[in-house]
Amino acid sequence: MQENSHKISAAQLFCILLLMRISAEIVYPTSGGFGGTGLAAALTAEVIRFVVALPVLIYSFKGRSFYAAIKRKNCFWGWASAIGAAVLLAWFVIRTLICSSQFAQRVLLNNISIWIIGALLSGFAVYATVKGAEALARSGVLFLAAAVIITLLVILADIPYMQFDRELPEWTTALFITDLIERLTRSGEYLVFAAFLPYVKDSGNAKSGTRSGAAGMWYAFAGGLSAVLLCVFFGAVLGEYQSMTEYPIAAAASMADIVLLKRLDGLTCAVWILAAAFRCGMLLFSMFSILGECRKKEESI
Amino acid sequence: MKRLIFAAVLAGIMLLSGCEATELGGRAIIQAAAVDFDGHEYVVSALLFSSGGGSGGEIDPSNENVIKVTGRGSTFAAAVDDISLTDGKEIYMSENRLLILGSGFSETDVTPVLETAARDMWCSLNMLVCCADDPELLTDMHFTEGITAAQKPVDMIENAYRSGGSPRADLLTLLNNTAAGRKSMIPMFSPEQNGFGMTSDEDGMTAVLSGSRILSGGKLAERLDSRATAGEMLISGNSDRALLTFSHGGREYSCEAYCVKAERLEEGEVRVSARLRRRNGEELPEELRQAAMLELDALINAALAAE
Repeated sequence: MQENSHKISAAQLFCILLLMRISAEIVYPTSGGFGGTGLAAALTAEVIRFVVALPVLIYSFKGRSFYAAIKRKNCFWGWASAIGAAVLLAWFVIRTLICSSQFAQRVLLNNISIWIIGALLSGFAVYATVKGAEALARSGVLFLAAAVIITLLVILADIPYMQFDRELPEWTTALFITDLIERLTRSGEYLVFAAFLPYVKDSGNAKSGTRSGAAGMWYAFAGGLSAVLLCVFFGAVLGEYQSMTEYPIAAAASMADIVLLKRLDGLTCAVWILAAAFRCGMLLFSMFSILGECRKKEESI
Repeated sequence: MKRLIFAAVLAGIMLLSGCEATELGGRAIIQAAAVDFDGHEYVVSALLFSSGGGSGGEIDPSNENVIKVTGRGSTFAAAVDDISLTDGKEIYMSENRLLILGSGFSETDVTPVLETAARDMWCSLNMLVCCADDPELLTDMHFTEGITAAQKPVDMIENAYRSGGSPRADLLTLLNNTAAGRKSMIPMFSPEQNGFGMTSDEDGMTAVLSGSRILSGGKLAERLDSRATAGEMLISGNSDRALLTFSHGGREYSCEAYCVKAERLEEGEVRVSARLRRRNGEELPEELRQAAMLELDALINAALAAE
């Protein structure tokens, strides 16, 4: 039986998954609709993700290495699933890099080449990957804390601008489908969850599988809740402008006024750019980790 | 982990500072901007904070740390760029607190200006927007009060809005209403010779809120005087209070109507209910209530007549 020397707790796994989820919601450009259409798309995307990831979530309650377990049943399907997941993760890495570079340039660094920003983010992601699961997990918790604090500040500062009695636009099926597809392309967290299962350590009397599974289920709930809350928050603050802007967080934060800080968009966007870079690192690490797990000759479930 | 955090901080420092960072002195920080369309091109007059002037702590016309620069161009963005060429500094509009629209937008759609201000100039979405026949009225005034050049007119709008006398229009509201095809009320300023000491000029000229204009279909449409503006704010639900001044028994009285509810009926009439109190908070005597309600009706009727 081979054990990974780097171990993380189930709580850390939950934190990094949630950070990845929210950072994707924030830094990816959106054409999402204001009102019921956007909210329905957000909820549907969460449900689809959850259903697709259900086998991994169920497995996580009893085992560790998901892809190695498939490989043990059938070598071909084991490798096929691992390579398929790695390809998907690679695509998510590239997409996150492109989107977060565009986000950084559009909202913060207008005069800087997108290639330089992309190179910096890539460098950070590669360095994070090299440092391993434990370092990623610990820093992920800190990033999540920083991101939650700054986002809560924006939400609190925007309370005077919130209107919950806004006139909602009519349902648009085309916009719903576009938004749903966009949201599904911001995924990747459940792949990371599957990749990180072997790293979750035993704690107390509970088995690591129970804790991992619980972390996955809590993440599914928290991810869905955060997507809905963000939709409601942006809709209440921005109204129709939510559908007109690519980055609602920057628009909402531009109105946030706290004592001497007249607008919080710069600070908020800087924190979320770093969170997006962290997301890239997580995806990249997971990609190599999945392939590495399959290459091991002996595995424990 | 420490190394990873260090790398993140380092990346953040590099990302935030940028490769072509502009020093504060190299930025033309716009505090208030007036924009008009003269039939051929956009004219933008901006009040800039000049770091080369006084200490920079407060407006000080004697030190001339607020300067007015005018730019022209075929688009709003081109006119703003023209200001940059004239002033020799990089334009920074994120701190702009007031946008004044001229009467040229009665004929031209103002939506592109608002969208450019929000998306490309990074103006804050809660930046106030007002209008004036000659928008340079406000940029030509050297208000002696306020931390920034825009603060005095912004305070005037906020104060009048709180009392129900004038609307408050911000960039976000205008963009939303235009997108949804709704009408917006924009506070309107007019010149008046009533402000000795308010400005650094000695002619006593100042600007006062004199009602509002309706922004409909992206263009400035109807003008409403002060009474019609107060009435329209009640009808549209923008405000639930109004200050009433009326005569009764040969004497003049003033009171505040609050919790005003104006409901449109199918016959085109408006049903109004309100609570009344003296301006010092005391209860309004019964014999004055009818006269006060008549005055409130008159405000509503003035708004209905203007529609």
